[in-house]
Amino acid sequence: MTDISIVLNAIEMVFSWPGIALITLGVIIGVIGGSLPGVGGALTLAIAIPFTIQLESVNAIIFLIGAYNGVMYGGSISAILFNVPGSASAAATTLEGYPMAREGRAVDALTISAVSSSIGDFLGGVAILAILPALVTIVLMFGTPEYFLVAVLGLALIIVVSEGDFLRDAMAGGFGVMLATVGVAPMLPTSRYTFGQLGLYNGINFVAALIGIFAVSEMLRLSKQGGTISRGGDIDVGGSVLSGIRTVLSKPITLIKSSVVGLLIGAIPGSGGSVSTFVAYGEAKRASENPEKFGNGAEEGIVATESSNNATVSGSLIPTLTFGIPGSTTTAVLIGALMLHGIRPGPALFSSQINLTYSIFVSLVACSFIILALGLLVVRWAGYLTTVNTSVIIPIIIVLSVLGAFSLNSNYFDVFVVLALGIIGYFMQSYDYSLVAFLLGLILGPIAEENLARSLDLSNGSLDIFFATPLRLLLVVATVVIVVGPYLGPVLKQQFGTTSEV
Amino acid sequence: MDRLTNMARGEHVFAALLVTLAVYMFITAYDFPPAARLFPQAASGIVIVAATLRVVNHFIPYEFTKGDSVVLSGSGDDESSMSEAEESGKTENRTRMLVLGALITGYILGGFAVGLFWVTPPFALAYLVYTGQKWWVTAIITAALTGVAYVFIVLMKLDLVTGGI
Repeated sequence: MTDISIVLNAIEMVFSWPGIALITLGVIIGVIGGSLPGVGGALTLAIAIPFTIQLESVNAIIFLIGAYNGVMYGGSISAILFNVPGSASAAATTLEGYPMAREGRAVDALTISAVSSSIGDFLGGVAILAILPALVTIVLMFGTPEYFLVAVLGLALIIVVSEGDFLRDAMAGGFGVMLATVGVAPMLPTSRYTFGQLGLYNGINFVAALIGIFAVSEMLRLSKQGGTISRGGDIDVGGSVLSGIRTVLSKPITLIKSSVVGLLIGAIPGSGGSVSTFVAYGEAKRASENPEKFGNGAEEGIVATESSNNATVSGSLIPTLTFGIPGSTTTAVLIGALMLHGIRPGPALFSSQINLTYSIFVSLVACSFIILALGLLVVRWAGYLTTVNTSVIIPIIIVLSVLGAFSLNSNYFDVFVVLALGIIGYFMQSYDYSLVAFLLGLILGPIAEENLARSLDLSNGSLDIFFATPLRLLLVVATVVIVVGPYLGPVLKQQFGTTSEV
Repeated sequence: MDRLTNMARGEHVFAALLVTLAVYMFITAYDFPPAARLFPQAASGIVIVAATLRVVNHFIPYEFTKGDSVVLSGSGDDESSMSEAEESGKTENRTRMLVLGALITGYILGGFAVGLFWVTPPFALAYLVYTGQKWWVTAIITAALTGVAYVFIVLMKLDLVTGGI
C-alpha cells in the first residue's frame, strides 16, 4: 500500500516552483529538438544533461522527462508539415499528417497531434501511477544475483534489437562492454587499461560517450547533407484548432486503445515508439469504419500514432527505472543522466528514493498539460522550426556538446572522449552497427560485472547462487529463450509445418 | 583494384580496428587478477568470435541473421536520427563533412591548448563562413555562441580561458 503522502509530496514537487518551470522548459527544448530531423531525442537529451549538473537531482530528472516528452510530440511537426519525421517514432504520423497538410488542413493535423500526444501522455502517466505500488513489490524482490541475471538478459536483448546482421550487432555490444571495462575493476584494487592516466581511473564518462555518439556523429552526418531541414514543398498552414480538438475527442476508443498499445510496447526493452506507432496505426485502420481513407489524410491515423507515441514514454520508463535496461536510445541517455546525479536504477528508486520515482511519473502527467497548451499555442508557427538551415544548427550543437562535456568534470579528457566516440559513432552508423546494442553493452556491462562480483562474494564463488530461487531460474530460462529463440524458433516451425503437411 | 581500395576504405578497416583493439584487450587482460579479467576477456572474445564468424560466413551457407523470425525490427533508432526520406532527398557532400571533422578536431585541440572560450568564436565563424551563410546570420550565431561559452564560465564556474599551454 502506497503512502498517499508520497504521492502528494510528488505532486507538490512537480507542480510548484521550480519544478513546473523546468518541465515546461524541458518540453519546449524537446519540441524544438524533436521537430528538427537529425537532432532527435537522444541527442537533445545528451546535450541537455550537462546543464542539469547544477540542479537538484529530482529537478534535473523531471526537466529531462519534460524534454523526452517534448521530443516525442515535436517529431510530428515536421512529419505533418514536410513529410520528414523529426524522429523515427513519428514516421507513422507522416502517412496521414502530410496528406492532411497538403489538403490545407495542417492546423487540424497539428492540433490532433498535440491533443492526442497530450492524452497519450496523461493516460500513460496515470496508468503507471496506478500500477506503481505493485511494481515496487516486484522490484524489491530483486537482489544482487537477480540484477546480474537481469543485466545478462538485457545484454541478450541485443539479439532482439538486432535488425539484420546479428554478428555485427554482437560486435557493437561487445565493444560497448569493452569500453565499460576501462577503469578500476569493481570490488578490486585493479586498474584496467588506464595507461597511468588519472582521467581514466573512473572509466570512460558515460555522458561524454553519449554526447560523442549522438551529437558529434549525427552532426557529421548532417553536414554531408546540408540544406534546410524541410524537403517538401511549401505547405499552407490552414485549418482550425477547434475542429482538431473535436476530432480527437470524438475518437475515445482509438485514443485509449492506442495509448495502451504504446504503454505495453514501450515497456518491452528494445522496442519503442517506432514499433508502437505502427502497431497502433494498423489497429486503428483495422477497426476503422472507413479504412479506405487511410493513406489519404485519415484523422484517426494521427490520433492512433500520436497517442501511442507519447504513451510509449511511460512504458519505456518501467524497464529503465526498475532494471536499468533502456527501452530506446533516448532512455539510454536518461540512464546516463540518472547516473550523473548519483541515482542507480533499481531497488533504491523504489525504496529510499521512492519520492523521486513518483515525481518522475507525476511529471509525465504534468507534461500532458504542457504539451497540450504549447501545442495549441504554437501550432501556426511550428513550421518555421523546420526551415532552419542545418549549417546553422551544426556549430550550435557542436559548441554545446564540447562545452557540456568539459563541464562534466572540468577536464579535457571527457572532451577527447566526445571527439573519439563521435568519430567512432559516425562509422558505426555508416556501417550499420547497432547503436542500441553498443549502448546496452556500455550500460549493462558494468552492472553485470559489479553484481556478478558481489554475488560470487556472497556465495563464496559458487555459481549455484544463480539457480537458487524460482525467480532466478526464470531469468536464466528467459535469457536462454532470448538467445536461442530467434534461431531455434523458425527451425521448429519448419519441422512442425513439415510434420503437419505429412 | 578499385574493389580492393573500396574495401580498404570501408567497413573492413573499421572492423579490423575493432578486432585489433579486442585482441589487445584480450591479451593484456592476462595481467589482471582472474576476477578482473573475466569481463574484458568475455567482451573482447565476443568481438573476436563475431568478427571471425562474419569472415567465415562468406564461405559457409549459414546466414547469421534473423530474417523474418523476429518482429521487433526498426526499434533501434527509436526516437533519434535521420529518416530514409530525409536521406534520399539530398546529394551528400563528403568534403563538407571532412571540413567539419577537421574543424571540430581543431576546436578541441585548440581549446586544450589555449582554453575553449578563445577558440569558440573562430570555430563557429569558420564553419559558418565555409558553408556560405549570410553575414548577419554568421555574426549573430558567432556572438551567441561566444555568449554561451561566457555563460558556462559565469554560471557553471568553469575555467574555459586557461589552456594546457
